[in-house]
Amino acid sequence: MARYGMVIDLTKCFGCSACTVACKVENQVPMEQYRTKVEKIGPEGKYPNLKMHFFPVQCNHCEEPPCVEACPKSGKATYLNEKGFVRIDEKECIGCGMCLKACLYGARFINTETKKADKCSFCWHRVENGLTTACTNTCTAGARIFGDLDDPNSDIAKFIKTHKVEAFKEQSGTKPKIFYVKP
Amino acid sequence: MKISRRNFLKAGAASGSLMALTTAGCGVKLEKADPTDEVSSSQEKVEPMKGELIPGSCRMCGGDCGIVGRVVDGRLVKIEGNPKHFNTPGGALCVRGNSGTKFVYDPDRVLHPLKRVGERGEGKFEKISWDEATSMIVEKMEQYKSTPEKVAWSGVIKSGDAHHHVMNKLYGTPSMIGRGRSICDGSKRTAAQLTFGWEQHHMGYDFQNSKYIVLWGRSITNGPHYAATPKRLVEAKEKGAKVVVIDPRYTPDAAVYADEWLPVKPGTDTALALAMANVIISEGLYDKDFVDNWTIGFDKLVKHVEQYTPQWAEGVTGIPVEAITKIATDMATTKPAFIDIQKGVIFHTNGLQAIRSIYFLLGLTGNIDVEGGLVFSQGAKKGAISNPPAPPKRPGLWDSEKYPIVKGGMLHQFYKKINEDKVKVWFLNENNPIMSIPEPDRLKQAMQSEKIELIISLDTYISETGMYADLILPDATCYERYQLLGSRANYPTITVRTPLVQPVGESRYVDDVMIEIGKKLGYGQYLPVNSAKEAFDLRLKNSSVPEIAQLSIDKIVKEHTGFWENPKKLNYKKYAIKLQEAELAGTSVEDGIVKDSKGNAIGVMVGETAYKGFNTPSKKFEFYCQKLEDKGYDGIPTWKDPEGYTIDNATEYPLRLISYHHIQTSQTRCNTFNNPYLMELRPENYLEISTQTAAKLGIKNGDMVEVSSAVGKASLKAYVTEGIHPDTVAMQHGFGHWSPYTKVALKRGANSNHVSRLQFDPVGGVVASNETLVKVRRVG
Repeated sequence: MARYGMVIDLTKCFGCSACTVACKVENQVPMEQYRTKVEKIGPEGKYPNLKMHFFPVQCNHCEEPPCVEACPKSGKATYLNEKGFVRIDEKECIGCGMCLKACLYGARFINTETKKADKCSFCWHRVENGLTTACTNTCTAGARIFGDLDDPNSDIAKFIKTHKVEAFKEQSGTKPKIFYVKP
Repeated sequence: MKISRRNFLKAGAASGSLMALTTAGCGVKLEKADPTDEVSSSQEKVEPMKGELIPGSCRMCGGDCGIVGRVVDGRLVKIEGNPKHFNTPGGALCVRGNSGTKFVYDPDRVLHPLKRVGERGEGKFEKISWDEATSMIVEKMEQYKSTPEKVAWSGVIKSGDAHHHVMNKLYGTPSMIGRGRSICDGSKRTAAQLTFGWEQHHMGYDFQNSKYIVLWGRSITNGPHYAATPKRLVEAKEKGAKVVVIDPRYTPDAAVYADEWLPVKPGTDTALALAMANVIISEGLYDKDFVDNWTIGFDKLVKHVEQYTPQWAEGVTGIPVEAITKIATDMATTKPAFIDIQKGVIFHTNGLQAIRSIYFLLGLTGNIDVEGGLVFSQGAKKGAISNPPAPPKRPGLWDSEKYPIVKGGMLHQFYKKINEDKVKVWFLNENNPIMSIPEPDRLKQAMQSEKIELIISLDTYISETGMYADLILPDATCYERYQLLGSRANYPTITVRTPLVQPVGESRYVDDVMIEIGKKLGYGQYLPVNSAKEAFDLRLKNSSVPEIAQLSIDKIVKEHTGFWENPKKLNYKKYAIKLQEAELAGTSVEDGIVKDSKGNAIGVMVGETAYKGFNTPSKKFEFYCQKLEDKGYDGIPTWKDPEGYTIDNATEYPLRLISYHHIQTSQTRCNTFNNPYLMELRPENYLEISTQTAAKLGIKNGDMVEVSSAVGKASLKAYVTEGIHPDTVAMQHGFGHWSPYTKVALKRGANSNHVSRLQFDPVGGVVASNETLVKVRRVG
């Protein structure tokens, strides 16, 4: 079975937020809410010796997702599917917000229109139609790679084999599947 | 169970880097490169993606990137980059392009022709019909038919397209003022033409093949010029290229891509470039072959730059000697190298000469028209709609004696032409000069004068300038019209803009309107078309290039997925093409210049061989420019502190104000400023001020501050940062909108043009918005 994940290369991301908007349009995310957002880190240091980078954040589609554990309807309203996508079933979700508190990344929110939990879906609907995610597709710096971590021929597997990557809050043990190239 | 991918794609829905484009009917169907590839089905239900995919072209900035719109039930629901297009490889599209669905359906758009009913500036309009509107225009134009120069056009001018054909070729007005020059990069274009005889709106960059890239007063992250510029810069870096950013601001380019950031003091670029030339020459690092064979004035330059040592330049620019020496040396020894320049350098009173001095660095190192250097790009030659007899030559609006080098008019000085009673009718398309030019009260007052009789704003919104117009004509967005465009490739390309959806309300594309007006004016004989689309098809058909002449809009959409290109035409060192025997027949050689029988220079002798050379009077790359010298300017750029910094008392106004563009807001014109998606990301602008300067002034991050000059002021929040030169403060351009009709943008942030002085480069003609001394104080 496939195990989908993403690489985000922070040596390439320049913070334009095309991913944020592509995602909003693709997934009809309400105004002032985001499934992926880019944070500016810095500048740090003293002029003119500075450091700054940009940091896209979103659901990490953890392999041991605490949000699923926290859900009172665990296994139904939110669950990890057979391809490694942490999914939300809106029909089952009661909008209690327990999963929001459990998420290490602050990636979940209650959708102001549906009143249900919402977050990055790894563009399940696109991927199942043979496409890549909206954010990966639109990135003008080519900073995102999406694909099957278990397929040795996928771009993402090849990339991870040859580059140093690190998941954010890796030590938490939730096995996140977004891997960053650090700046 | 396995499901063939084709089943999912029945609706013709999919795009992405893995996809190959095929066409079906009018729309484009995007399919997987390998149609036999299959995905396993899931227990979860997946909705097939709905809609038709139609290729078109974006216009959220001036880049005209190829896009694919997904349209469901006649409504545009998603925009992606056209994966086949040069500007958008793999489907990449910038944040502005992605936000376009909110542009086309913006409730603030003008949907019907409007006529002013109150005073100019009062903003009172009433709905009228298109017929009434065009009749009003035609009546006025008839009145000035014998003095057509009194009818002016400003904004986007596409030479040869219907609006230009009607106004310039048929009606005969020379008063066509391209926004892309005097409030953009006119000085850069003219500097290129003077120095090496080639100019284009943007230089032919070839980042992916460069080994050393200098971004000088130019941010590719904030103004990429096309969506995938960052991708190509990343590609260059992955192949080992070094990147240097010269900018008073610590831009994302400086932070993410640069190996070195040189925070130059604003306006001192000429000093830095001349000192770099000094290093390259004194260290003997210049390209001897190129300099000896293909340039003139090198000896003069050698002598001239002796005075500009790195030690001297450190004091002027604030860049340490070691850094100047290092980048000059690295640039000269790492080939190919490229320097890209934009408004940080251009928007100064000495802009043209500063750019010439930077071009010298490319000339000295032989990086002219070579792979990975500055490439002379080639466009796709289209024909004319028709070939009418040339209209009588009329006097231009500008004093060519006073401004002999300036090309294309000066929009920032247009108010004077109104005051001088030289303009009676003014069309504005896709421009908002009351926002985009300093000291806007001058233009406001001129527009309120009775001297100008009819002001027509062709726009999607009632902009600030539109508030002073007599007629507002609802423009079709880039998703609702046809157009023929290029790309940023260095070889001939044609991008087709198509209506992805029907125009909202009664909006119409400018060319369709101008064809109607042209016919009403009696030019039917030379307007053998009924629509902009037909006019574009005729321009293709009438091309002198056979492979272009056989194209049509529909053909490019259906057979070329919206983007035609001829990469085989890519070539370098076009100046070193030998003249053929046929070309040499009847020629003579005078001072090394090959002249035809009429005395026109057609080439240059290098040794015993005749070459095409550069399109300059000397047919060579001109370090020394006789034309500039003849007109009373410096033949070789000489350092002087820019005039704008010498007017005010620097003790009272100790800081240099610059403005900059941001990727999430495209300047002040219609396309992006009222977009909710973009406004969420960047809801206001700030006064960027250095930590040490702010501390001296008692300013903390987020404080309200007033930034004032001798001519104006603005209030906004402070952003205190280490990432800016301590003598500099910066404001993002594109905020401070006040038209009550653009409710998303209304009263957010402040406009830097309310602070900057209205001044310009008299040689290059571009507004010098980045050259005003200011002071800052905390007001809350």
